[in-house]
Amino acid sequence: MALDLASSEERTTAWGRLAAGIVLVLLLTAVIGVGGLPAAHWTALGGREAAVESPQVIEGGRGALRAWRRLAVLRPRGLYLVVDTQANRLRVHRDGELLRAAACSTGTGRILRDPRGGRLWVFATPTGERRIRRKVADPVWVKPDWAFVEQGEEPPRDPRERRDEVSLGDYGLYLGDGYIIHGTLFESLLGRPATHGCIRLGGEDLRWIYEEVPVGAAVYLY
Amino acid sequence: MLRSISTSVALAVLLAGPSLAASDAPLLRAELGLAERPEIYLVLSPAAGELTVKARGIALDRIALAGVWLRYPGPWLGAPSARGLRAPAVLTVRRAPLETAVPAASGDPPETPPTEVRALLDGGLELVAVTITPRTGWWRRLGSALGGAWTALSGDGVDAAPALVVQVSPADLSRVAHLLERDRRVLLADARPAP
Repeated sequence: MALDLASSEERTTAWGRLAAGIVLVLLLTAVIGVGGLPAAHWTALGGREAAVESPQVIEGGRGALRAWRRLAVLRPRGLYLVVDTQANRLRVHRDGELLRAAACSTGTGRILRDPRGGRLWVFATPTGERRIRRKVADPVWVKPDWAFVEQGEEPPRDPRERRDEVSLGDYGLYLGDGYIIHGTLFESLLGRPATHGCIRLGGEDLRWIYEEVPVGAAVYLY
Repeated sequence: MLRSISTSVALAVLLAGPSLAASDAPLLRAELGLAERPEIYLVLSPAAGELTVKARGIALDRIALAGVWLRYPGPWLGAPSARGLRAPAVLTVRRAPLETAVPAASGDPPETPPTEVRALLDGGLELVAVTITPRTGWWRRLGSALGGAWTALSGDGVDAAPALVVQVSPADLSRVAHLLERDRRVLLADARPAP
């Protein structure tokens, strides 16, 4: 009887060890298995370089100085315009200093397809650098084909039928490729995208820019 | 006499330029390559906590970043496969966020504004702008491992693209989406881990 009890205890211990072993193996397999699964690792960036004791190191920094000087040459001199096509804001700067800010209207990004010829127009304001090529008082808009297609009309063959002496307002500053900074009959839309790619300004801001900003000034559109 | 000396000193400072170290040269050269073109480019500086809109070397606009992270794939318990990102580096936007956005059926604003925009850069690297601080700790990694396993089992594959993740304010999210247009160049100015 005592022998039976002892062997029963041994059997229980053996089963217990086996069960513990199985659990351990399962756990290890799970950890190794999950551990091998692909996961996203994250590293916060933003560390700063250790301060240089004497940063004006002309010997070591000569290349940097040369690049800095070449960059300085590229910067615009005098007045330049900045157009934020998302916020529909136009700013005038002189050597980095803000002189004037105004609400404007830029392109809607709308797409127009000519049902007859299949031509496609995207009414977006281009981004990048442009220059004011010429300035005109009382500008006349020579309406392109899309202006007629948009109205469901056939573009006229007679150029006189394309002349519009009202829509551009009092002044036009031409940026090339048909893009113009001009006035508007719809000042309530300023601050919102509303144009076919041109930049519309209110009368007062347009007059100021026409008088102050010279031909050749850079215009940065983003 | 005094006036002439002070003029000479001012001229010398102007000619000498700013305080520059040799380590500044790669960044300045990288920016010079961008500023020579008549294009808008972006400078992402985790150290300054800023995304700057630039042209010809001048800053046109700035967007404040609440945080910048490098997210990269790797086994949950193993060594990650792409720990480092070299900087300065010029990256080009290959797919803009607005190209993948689903156009709204009407002009009405969506009911829930987006909290994330993604652009694809060179080499499969993503630039992700978020408005909510990402959970980046140990438990998050375990969660992503299990979630990844589930998506892999369900046949959707694992989203394991390395990404630069920037946190911006909700108001700035649409600005970032607008700025990340196709072919726009992004200069990663620095990529040192935060202390």
